[in-house]
Amino acid sequence: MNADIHTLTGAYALHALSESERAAFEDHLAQCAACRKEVSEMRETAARLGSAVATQPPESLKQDVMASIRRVRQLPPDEGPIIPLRGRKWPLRVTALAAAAAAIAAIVLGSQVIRLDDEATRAEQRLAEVSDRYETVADMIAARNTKIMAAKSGDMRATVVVSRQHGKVAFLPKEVPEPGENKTYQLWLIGPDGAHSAGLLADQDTPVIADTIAGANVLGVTVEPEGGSEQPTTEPVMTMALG
Amino acid sequence: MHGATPERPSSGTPDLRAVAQSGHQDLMSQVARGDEHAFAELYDLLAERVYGLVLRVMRDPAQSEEVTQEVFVELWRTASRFQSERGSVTSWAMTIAHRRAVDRVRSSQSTIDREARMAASQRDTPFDSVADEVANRFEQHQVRNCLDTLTELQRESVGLAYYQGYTYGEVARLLDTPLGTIKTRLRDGLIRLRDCLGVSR
Repeated sequence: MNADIHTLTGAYALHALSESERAAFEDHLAQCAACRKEVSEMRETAARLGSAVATQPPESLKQDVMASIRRVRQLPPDEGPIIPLRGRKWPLRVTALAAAAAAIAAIVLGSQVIRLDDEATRAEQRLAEVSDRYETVADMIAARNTKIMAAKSGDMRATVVVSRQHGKVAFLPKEVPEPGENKTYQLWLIGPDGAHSAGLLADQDTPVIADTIAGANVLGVTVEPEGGSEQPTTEPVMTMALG
Repeated sequence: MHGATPERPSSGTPDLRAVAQSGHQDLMSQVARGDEHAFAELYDLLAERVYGLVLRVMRDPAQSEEVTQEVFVELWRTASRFQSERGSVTSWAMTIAHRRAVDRVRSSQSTIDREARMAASQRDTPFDSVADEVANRFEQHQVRNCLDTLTELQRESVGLAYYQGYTYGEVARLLDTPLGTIKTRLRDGLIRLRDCLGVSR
């Protein structure tokens, strides 16, 4: 193991690395079993430090939590990449292609269950068609330092792909409730200097691909009047950290 | 209900390491299968710790409640992905909680705010106030005693990074110490704490 990068285990376990260092360290972590063990032990240790500041939350929080989980569907085991790809156990170059294929297949197949051979064949044809449309996304997925995240908020589900190498963020809708009459969903990249529009969601099947903005580390989705807004005018229906 | 699982405390003051140590794979399996009662039990076991940590990092009670709620929703949503061989339930939950609190603090604060906050908290002594605000629990005594075995620089570095959510670069500037030194102090400090607290897997 590289002695220098290995000293980052502490800072990593405490979430004290900058984004770029974290990415680099996670690449290292994927190949260093000793580092993974050390990080895991340090997280246990940090949890003890956290436990030492335990504070009773307001009583009402439990009801709020119980009410909100009733609206949230649980992930089945091993549904696919929800953890950043960098958290994988295998070198990226091997998994990226598999992940790209899986991601495209997931887009194409959605929730359908394919039982028959001819259905499989048709799905394969559609896969070929759609993979063109998703070429950019597939490229992003195959690149180094790419993060794939499953996002869910209320009834909205999406996959978000962040590629540092391409400097792009892709928002792939999975389930999108009607935004309401004369309304549209608008995506925002939010950083210290505010929100920047990342485009409008055309429909449930079309990914939105936007250039990343330096410092913007949160992706937000709001409901806006048709045509979109200069700045968000409503509370986000979904936000997620891109870091 | 869980055979050899130690009996869980019925209210208020959960045994601090009950979650971490045994039988919680069962609880997590039940949660992963959508058992809301099991989840309520998990909430009771973890809520004080998750909320306390989030509040510690974020300071604002209203935002801390919001983030705590997000953390529990995430625990619910991803329960099937929990792998006991990778660490305890507590560690899993607290890692998610810390990450979310830190992300929220970093994304919501402009650089200027952060600079101001850094200036304001110069030489804040996180662990002294910890001792003031917590009751005399065994766990806290143990943590406190182990923190006392650290060097001052280790203790300050770990405290600023963990309890205040600073990056190690910010810690280095706050303590006017070279980056490389802070990096190694964070690691050495955690290793010393790990050994003192008897954390091993």
